[in-house]
Parts: sequence; structure tokens; C-alpha cells
Amino acid sequence: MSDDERAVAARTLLQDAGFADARVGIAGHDRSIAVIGNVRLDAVAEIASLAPRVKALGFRYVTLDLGGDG
Amino acid sequence: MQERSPRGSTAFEQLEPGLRERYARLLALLRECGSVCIGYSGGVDSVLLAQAAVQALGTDAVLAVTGISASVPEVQRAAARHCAALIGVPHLEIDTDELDDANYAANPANRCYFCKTELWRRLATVAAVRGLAQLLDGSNADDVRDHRPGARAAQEHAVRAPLLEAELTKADIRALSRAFGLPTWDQPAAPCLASRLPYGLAVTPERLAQVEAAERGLRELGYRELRVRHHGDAARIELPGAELCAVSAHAAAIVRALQVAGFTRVLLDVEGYRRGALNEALVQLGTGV
Repeated sequence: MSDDERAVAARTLLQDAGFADARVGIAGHDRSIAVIGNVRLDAVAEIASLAPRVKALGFRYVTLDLGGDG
Repeated sequence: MQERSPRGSTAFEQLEPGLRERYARLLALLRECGSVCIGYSGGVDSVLLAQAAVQALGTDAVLAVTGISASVPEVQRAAARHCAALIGVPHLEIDTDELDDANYAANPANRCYFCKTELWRRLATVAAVRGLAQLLDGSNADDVRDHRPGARAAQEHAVRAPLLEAELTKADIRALSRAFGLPTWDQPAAPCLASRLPYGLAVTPERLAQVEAAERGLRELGYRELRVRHHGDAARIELPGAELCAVSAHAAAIVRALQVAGFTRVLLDVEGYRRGALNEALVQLGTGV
């Protein structure tokens, strides 16, 4: 899957799980990090329960975007 | 069990007999060595080893040596000095130059081999000059199950691992350290700063300094067990699972601290802190580690 396809698939997965406004980007020098934004930070446990399925799309790490210029 | 610790002997005698037996074996192994030069990081393993060596051999036959480079944070250097003074072991700091080795700086999966080769080469010289018979490291019985390419460098320099030889596990070492009143008994694992860089991302003094500053900033916010993983412009924070939910209250301060350290993106790993997280890449690649 291309980066765009992986990001769209992850976003769909999150929306299906109830995170309607979630967005997903990709970071890391080797493009291995799924960066989830536009979700509440206190939902981290729920997102963590979805991490194996997100990683199965080709990501090594699943993260929440705390901020910055990305 | 005839041995007595210089401190905490009552607590020691309350430990389970099998553990006291393994500690007695450790002391016997150390006596066999005659005199020792210990690769000493100031972590829980090497501090207990140094304490046992002093107990078994006396201070004149023991030297604890800490290798100093940009991959060792100042907080760890200070802890090493503090513990050495506490247990009364002679302590020496020496500079190591692993960052000048292109094999190390390229950050391959066996990076630790090149670092430890440099360390043990330097320590072998120190031991020879000081007339110390045996090089020792603090590997324990649990370490054989981990990805540790540095172990090969130790073997090549005839380094012995008495904690491992005495079959002492990490839990044993923490229990003994607690009984002896060592401040390291509950200290989190503290591998070098290069362990925060994914394999293949070059190790540079600048990147190591970024990680050190970022982790210092998070400790100042009250986090104790943490890792800041360097992914180029992005920092990926690992915190214990129980602390993840509280991050929302400090998110702005966390971002500020990491931006001061030079990162432009700040990411929270939803799976939390796990030892050797960057080795997950090796498992996924099937490199047989």
C-alpha cells in the first residue's frame, strides 16, 4: 500500500470505531509511524486497543499528535 | 550462609534461601577472580556487582570504570558517581570514542557491538596498567534472552559476567539491592541515549543531545520512567501505560519541552513504554534476533 492508502485505511478504521473526526498522517524517517490527530487525548486507551489493527496496515508505531509543526 | 553485607544484614537474612545461596555463589566467583575491573554504568546491575566485589575482595582489588561519551546522559554520570561513593568502590571515568567509529555511527542493529568493543578495549588497558586480573560486566541471567550484540564484544575481551554466572535474575538483583539499602533497587533501566535512535538513523552528538534535553524536560514535568525516541524531526514519547491518560493535562508543557530540545513534531505512542521498542523493527524484519 502507498502512504496515502495506508493513511486512508487507518482513518477509516478509526472512524468505524467511533472517532468520526480523526485524521491520520505518517511520520518518521522511514515512514513507520501512524500519527493520529483530531481525537481527544484522554481517548488514548481506546486508541491503544485499536493499535494492532492500525499496525497491520503497515505501521510500526501508532501515535497521537500532541502538537508541533507537522 | 556465612557472608554478611556491610549494610542491611537483617534484611538480607530475610531474603529467600535460594537467593542468598546465589549471592554466596556470586561472592565466591568474585574471590576466584582475585582482582577486578568492572564496567560500571551506575545502573542497578553494575552497582550491585561493585558492592559485592568490594565485599568479596576489598577496595584495593576493585576498580569501577565508567565510559563517558555523548551517549551517556549527565544524570546517569551523576548517579554513577553517587553510588560509587556510597558503596566505597574506587571509581574512574574514562572517555570513549565510539562516535568516531563509522560502524557505530551508522547505527546498525549490532551497534552495541562496536560501542562495547571500544569500551572493553579501553578497560583492558586500564586493567593492565592497574594490575587488575579480570574484567567484569553486569550482565544478568535475564539478559541472555534479550538482543545483546554487545555480549560478543565482551566475549572477545574475556570479560566475565558474575551476576549471570551466579544465575542472578533482574528481580534477584533488585531484591538484593533493596536488602543492602542501595538506591538503585527500584531504578528504571537506563540504556544509553543511542538506544533512542531507530536502527539506520545515524548516531550524532547533536541527536543524542536532543534526546538528553527532551528526556530531562519530561523528568522536570514529573515523569520518571520514559523514553523519547528520535525519528528525525519527530519525537515519539513512550510513557508507562498508567500515565498515558494523564498526558492530556500536560500536553502543552510536553510539547514546549520537546520543541526546546529541537523537535518539530511531538508524538505520544499509544502503546506506552516498552523495553527494547526499537528492536520491534528487527522482529518485524525477521532478522533473527
